[in-house]
Amino acid sequence: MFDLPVLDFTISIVFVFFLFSLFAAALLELVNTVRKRRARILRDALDKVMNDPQNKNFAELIYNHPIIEASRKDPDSLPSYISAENFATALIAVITEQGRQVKIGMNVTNTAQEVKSDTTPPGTPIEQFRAGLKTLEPSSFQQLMVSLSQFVNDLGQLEKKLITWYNGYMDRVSGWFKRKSHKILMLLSAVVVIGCYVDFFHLASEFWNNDKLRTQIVQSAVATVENGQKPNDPTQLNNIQGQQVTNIDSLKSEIRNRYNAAEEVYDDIMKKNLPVGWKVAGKKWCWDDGCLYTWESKNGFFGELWNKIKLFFNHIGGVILNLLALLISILAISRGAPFWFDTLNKLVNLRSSGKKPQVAPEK
Amino acid sequence: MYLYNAHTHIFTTKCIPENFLGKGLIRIISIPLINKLMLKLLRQILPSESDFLSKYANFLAIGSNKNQDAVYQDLVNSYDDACRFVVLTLDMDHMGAGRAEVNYNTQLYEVLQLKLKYMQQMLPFVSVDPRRGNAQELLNLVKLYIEEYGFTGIKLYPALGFYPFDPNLDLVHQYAEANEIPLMTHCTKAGVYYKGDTLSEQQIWPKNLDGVQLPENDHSDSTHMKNRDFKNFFTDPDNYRQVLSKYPKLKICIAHYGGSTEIERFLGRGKKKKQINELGNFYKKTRDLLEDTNFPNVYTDVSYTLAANSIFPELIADIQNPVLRDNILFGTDYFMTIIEKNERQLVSDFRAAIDPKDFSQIANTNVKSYLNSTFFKA
Repeated sequence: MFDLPVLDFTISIVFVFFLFSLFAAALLELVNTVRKRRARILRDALDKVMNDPQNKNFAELIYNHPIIEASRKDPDSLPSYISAENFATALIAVITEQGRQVKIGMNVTNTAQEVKSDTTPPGTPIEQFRAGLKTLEPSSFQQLMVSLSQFVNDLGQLEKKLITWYNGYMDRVSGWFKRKSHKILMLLSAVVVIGCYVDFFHLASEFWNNDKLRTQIVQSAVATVENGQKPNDPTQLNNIQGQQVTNIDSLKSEIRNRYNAAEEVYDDIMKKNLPVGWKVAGKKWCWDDGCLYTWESKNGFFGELWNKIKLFFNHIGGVILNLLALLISILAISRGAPFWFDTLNKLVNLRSSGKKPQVAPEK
Repeated sequence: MYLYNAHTHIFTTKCIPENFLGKGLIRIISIPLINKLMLKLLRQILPSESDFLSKYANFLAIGSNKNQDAVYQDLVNSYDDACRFVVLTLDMDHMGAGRAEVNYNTQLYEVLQLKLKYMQQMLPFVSVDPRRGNAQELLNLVKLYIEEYGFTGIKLYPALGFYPFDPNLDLVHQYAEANEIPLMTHCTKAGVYYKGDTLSEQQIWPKNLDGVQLPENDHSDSTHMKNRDFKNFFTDPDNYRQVLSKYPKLKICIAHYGGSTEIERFLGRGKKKKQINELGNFYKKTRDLLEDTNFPNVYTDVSYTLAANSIFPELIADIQNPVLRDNILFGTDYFMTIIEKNERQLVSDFRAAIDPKDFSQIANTNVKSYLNSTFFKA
């Protein structure tokens, strides 16, 4: 078993990043819930390809198709998930429907309107689909549909092609979602770092110099790795948890759950007496000639402002170092909880390697 | 006997272009949960039903319905009588406000599905914008929806950026006149309007008008005006004189009877507002058209205007006037009027003020004669 102070120091730092990234992840999940981001991004992604200015918004028509309608719990909610199979079925039905020919006219007694004829083009289902497609004006969506249906002989083959296309497209959508989510996570990490004042250099100095604190944090880290599970990544499209939010009450309850989860993580962090918080800021932003983050009104507004400007430039080196410490923490925390959990896991395993296996109790 | 409401809308906020209320605002308020949260907030701040903002909240609630069927259901549920509703579609694709989530083609397609569902009750009009295509393409669109899909009439909304005498509309007017197909056109100084940054030459003043006698002055010296003021040139009732001089038997409803504000102004009441241009009083101009014996098929309707109880005596006097009596239609402009009153209240207030015979005249006899065409018999 390795028992190196350097390893324990690294574990302590990584563990703190893990805890705060967990907190940032909980906040991201709260944001995702409030904004219903998954359902919205799915709709936006389909609109991007299927809202065809030359023809119709086929995404809208698909969403109104009974098979997709059935996946909404509430008429006003957007589904947060559409399976590839349902998508293909609905799209084929919607395109085929375009070939339907309806004629409405007055009845023989001229007293009421009636459907005079309602026909779908003759032929096999795939021919009917192609007839529907023929009614579309040339557009990028129409070309996509033509290319997907070009060399297929029946609807089964077409369905497979549509499923493959949809799954591939959803992979790309997941990429967009991840990129967008990462930006939000970065912002939330900044909020967490500033709110909890997580100064990387101060943490490093405390963990390096304080053996007792380091040992205590390492014990917590080992317990977390041994008992915990790898957290979900809220920047992944398929990892947004939570019940289907369908109305104000369920939204409220879901937001409350997310809020409670974030609060729980926060309380857990605070119980560990980590060297973070605004008491640390007091030490970092104050010098013998004054404090940068306090305000003395007796000097008057402009007098005090001038004092602060002087103080800032007198200690420009320290200011830059403090900002750098915060920036490192922000960048580290925005790497996400799963990354830090994996890293922690590897480090803890390294620390435990060579450890004597426990002997099973004699019967 | 049916009661006919000759003027309703059922499009949703998804049909409204994204920059209509500033970039992306429509998109945000059309998200159901955001919309509901806004409604809840508004209603908590403003407990009284009569509050102005509460009415906006109701407007938002109806417009943000999931689809046009839900808006239509809300309309139908406001009536106890056997009713038929003229549903006016609206082509907003060319109003210079960007793309809508539900473009006009999709809107029409959805209305066609509803027509199949509510065959006798729903009487849709197909909206035409001369910028959508050339004269022949527009005629083809109108013919398809009237002759094949059982739509009842044609809707124009010039404030979105065109003149009713635009040469591209020529074949449509000709076809409508020949087949007695009703046209409904928005004609007040209020309402939505063209949002584009620039005006094309055709919008400033149309060219190549074959056989159309134009008003004396063109509008090229008025391009500095804000869009909301310039749009009055598009909606001016006198524009229809140019159309009617060519197609005198055209059946056209100059909707809203000038608007209640113009009626108040004509009567010397109400707030005096700075006149932006010399277009004159739209109520007076509409009335002059109705009284002009050269144009026997000019109608107006009381939609939206009937939300102002203060002008009921004048409206009723006009309905009883033998010269105008046959050419005034009942309509409400649902759901635009939700800002003023809910539909049920709107109709019941008006019916309480008007003699049942007069109401029957405008809500049945006149609308039937307006709607009857080669392809439809009310």
